[in-house]
Parts: sequence; structure tokens; C-alpha cells
Amino acid sequence: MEHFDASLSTYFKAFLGPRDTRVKGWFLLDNYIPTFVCSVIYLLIVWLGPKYMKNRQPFSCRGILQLYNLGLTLLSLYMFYELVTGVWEGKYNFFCQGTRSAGESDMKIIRVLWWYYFSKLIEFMDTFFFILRKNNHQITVLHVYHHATMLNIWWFVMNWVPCGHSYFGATLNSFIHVLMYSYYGLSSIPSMRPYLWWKKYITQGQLVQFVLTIIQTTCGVFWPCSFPLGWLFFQIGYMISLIALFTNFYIQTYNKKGASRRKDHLKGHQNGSVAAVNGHTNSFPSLENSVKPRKQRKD
Amino acid sequence: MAAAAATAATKGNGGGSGRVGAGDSSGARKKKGPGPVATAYLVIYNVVMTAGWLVIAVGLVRAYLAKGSYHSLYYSIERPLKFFQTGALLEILHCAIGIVPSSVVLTSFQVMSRVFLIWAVTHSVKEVQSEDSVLLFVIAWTITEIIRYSFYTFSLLNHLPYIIKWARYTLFIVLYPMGVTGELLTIYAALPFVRQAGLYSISLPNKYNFSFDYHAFLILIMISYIPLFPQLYFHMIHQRRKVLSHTEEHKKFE
Repeated sequence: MEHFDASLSTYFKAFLGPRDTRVKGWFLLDNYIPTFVCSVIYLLIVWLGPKYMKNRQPFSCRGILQLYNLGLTLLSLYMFYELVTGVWEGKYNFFCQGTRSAGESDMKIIRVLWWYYFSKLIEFMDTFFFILRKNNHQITVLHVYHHATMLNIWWFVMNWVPCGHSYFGATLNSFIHVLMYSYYGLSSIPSMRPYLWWKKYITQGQLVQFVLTIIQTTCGVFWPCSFPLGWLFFQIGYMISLIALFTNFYIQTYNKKGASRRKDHLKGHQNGSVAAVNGHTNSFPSLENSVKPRKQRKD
Repeated sequence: MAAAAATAATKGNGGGSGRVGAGDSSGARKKKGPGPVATAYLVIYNVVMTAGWLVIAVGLVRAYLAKGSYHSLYYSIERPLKFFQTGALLEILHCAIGIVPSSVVLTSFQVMSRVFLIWAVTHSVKEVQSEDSVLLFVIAWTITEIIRYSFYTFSLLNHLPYIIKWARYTLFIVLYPMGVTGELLTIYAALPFVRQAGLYSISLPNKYNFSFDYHAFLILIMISYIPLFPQLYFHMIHQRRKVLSHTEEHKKFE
């Protein structure tokens, strides 16, 4: 196994260049295999989990979910705060920022981005909760692809470009996650629901996030600095793959608007069910978005 | 730029019809819209182009803040401008293969006229690059394209915010004249250098017995704006009344 690790490292070095020594020895970062194994296990659970649950009653997971959502809200808030202050202190350049020019601020960014990488592992729990609560409709191709690839991508980012221009997408994503997990957490408390005004902005926020990340990355391409170009092109390609899946997801949701509405109506009667609440949460923004064009077409 | 109006109007109509068809439960009408793969591709294209023109916008702002002056900003955004404007050639392909319900001729005219201005005038005649007129059309194009591509993106997703629609059918009132002015002034500024250098010109005698005077060709292009621009501009104004008043009636109905 150690021999395999060594040959893998040699291959990575040949293909990607030398690793960033500042993260040497950090938890999970020295070898790729643990990250890869976790991803395989994740995919196996996604494949086998729904089969296992097929003839079983769904778990409510209510208490642990509240704790989970609160925890991730706080973690996302912490990451967002650290990233914003780190970028500010380091006087990071929006157009292009290398990984070696901001001194201690770079270390601050690297430390929080490790948490960002690790949070991708924690967020596998999102999918596991869907499986346990039998919300299989929320386990979309986009969802699985995004969760599985993000952990792996960030393993590589942390080992080669753990700060500099890499900060931007993580900052936006952390901000979106504050909105998303705080909404999930609070929506399980019935008395809070009238105040949760930001749910409809989550989906829109994700699209805006894609565009802004492409802009920031593209700026690095056209006005380059020491940040390596290959990583920028990879990032753009990855964002494009997400947009493709997002579009398909969005259109399918739109095309099922009738069905979604009926489901939504039914779920409205199960106020006590956390499963219904979260399901309601995810389906509602798309439904709300699709209502306007429908009315417009009637005129 | 003048051609942009017609193509824009045509695309707007086509896009709208396509969306209505796609949304309707009728199977026959559904088939008229682009399939899911084509739609996903078009969303990618439009998102990337929206982002690309926003890159040019932020590049302009950045350069202006760095220099403290608006002169010679072209040099700061030259590369992304060439890349994304040339990338628009794909739109001719989209029309030709039928995933966008617009006229191939109109789209070709619009895109080629801009690509021509970028490469055959601004790129080729280095002396005009520092002219303020270049900045005039670059800014007009940038704002127009950000609005246009985001309009298409949201339309494809069947979620068009009113402000985007409003911007699409209102800001052209200022932006099209602004762009055309910049284009004409740029071509005009290039004329003496083209004549002096004999740029892209072929003179007799030669074995092909054919001559071409690029200088005269440019003058001809400038003259062609006279009949084309007003026609397309007022067509767009007509389109505006149609689209926005429809929305107003819709609001009253609500």
C-alpha cells in the first residue's frame, strides 16, 4: 500500500508539478487514497442505500438533523468570515492572485480552505439523510456528481494551489451554504416558517455563484499572474459541467410542475414531518420560479 | 451594430414562441423547442458569454481605476474582447442547425459586422486603438451583450426577471446609437491610415485581373449604415411597445 502511494505521488508530481509543502502532514492531505476510498464508499451507499430502504419505514432523523444543520450553518459562517477577512488582510487581487505573495494571510486562507475541503466530506451526510428519510427524488445526478467530485477536486487544490485565486469559489459557496443550512435548520421549527424569506433566493444564488466564479477565473486567464493557468482552465470546465447538469435538473423540475404542485400540496398537510419540510424546501424554489412564466403565457 | 436590433428582435420573438411551445402540454408544440441536450448546451453558451462580457466590464472598470483616465482603455480589454466577440460566431452555427429559431442571414450579418470591426478595422489599424470612439462602441457592446446573453439564459430556463426584459427592450434606445456612433467614428478615423498604407487592397495589373480598394469598401460600409440603422432601430422600438405593454396589461390583470 505504501508502495502504491509512493508511485501515485510520483505520477501526480510528474503530471501536476511539485506540491505545496505548507500543507505537508495535514490530516487526510498527504495521501490521495483515503479521499478516494471515501468517495467510492459514498457512491456505493448512494447506489445500495435506496435499495436497502425500499421496504422499510423512513427514519425521521429530526433531532440529529437540527443539530447537523445548525453545525453546518456555523461552520459555513466561520469559513465565510475567515475567508473574507483573510482576503481583505492579504489585499488579494480579484483579477489574479498567486499562492505565494501574501505571507501570513495566505496561511490563514490555507487553514480555512482545509476546513472547506473537510466540510465536503461532512456534507456526504446530506445524501445519507435523504436516503434514510427516503427523499430519493432529491438524490439527483447533479447532487451526487457535485458532492462526489468536490471532495476530490479540493484534495488536489489543497495540495497544489491551497490559497491565492482558489479562495473565490469557496467563499461564495460558504455564503450560499449559510443561507441553505440555516434555512433547513430553522424550517423544521414550525413557528419560524413565516420568517424564512430567503428560501427562494437559494436556487438563484447558485446560478449567480456559477457566473461569478467563471468571471473571477476568466479574469485570471486574461490578466494572468503566478497562479497556474491549468488550474484556471480546469475550474472553468468544471463550472460548465455543473451548469449543464443544473440546466437539466431545472428543466426537468419545470416540466414536472404539475406533479410538483400536487406533491407540494400534499406535503403541506404534513407539518410535523421533517422529511416533508425539507422536500418542500428543495422543490419550492423551482416551483415558484416556474409559476411566473406560466401566468405570463396565459395572457 | 445596427443589425443587432433586427437579430435581437427576431431572437426575442423566436425565443418567446419556443418557450411557450416548450411549456405547453401539447406534444406537437413541445417538439418545436430545443431538446434537453441542446438546451443545456445553449445555457452553457449563454452563461459563459454573459460571464465573458462581464469580465470585459470589470476589466474596463479596473483599468479606469488604475489609470484614472478613460483614454486608451482598449489595450486593457483587447484580448477578452476579441475572444468573446469572435466566440459569437457560434451563434451563426446555432441558427444554421436549428437549435435557435432565428434567421441565419440576420444573425450572420450582425455577428460578422462586429467581428469585422474588431479584426479588420480596430486590430488591423493600430492607430485607431487609442481613439475614444473605440471605447464608445466597446462600452455599448459590453452592456448590450451582458443584457442580451442573460436574457437568453433566463429565457431558456423559463424564468425571465422583468428587469432583464425591461433592460433588453429599453437600454438599446441609448446603447444602439452610442455603439453605431463609436463604430462609424472608428471606421472614419481608420480611413487615412488605410489609404496611406494600401491596407488589404489589391491593385491592377495582376494575374487575376481583379482590384479591390479597402478604403472605398470602408466608405461603402459607412454609407450602408444610413439606410440600415433607422430601419432596425425603429423596428426595435416597435418591438418594445409590443413586449412591455403586454407585460403591463398582464400586471393589471393580476
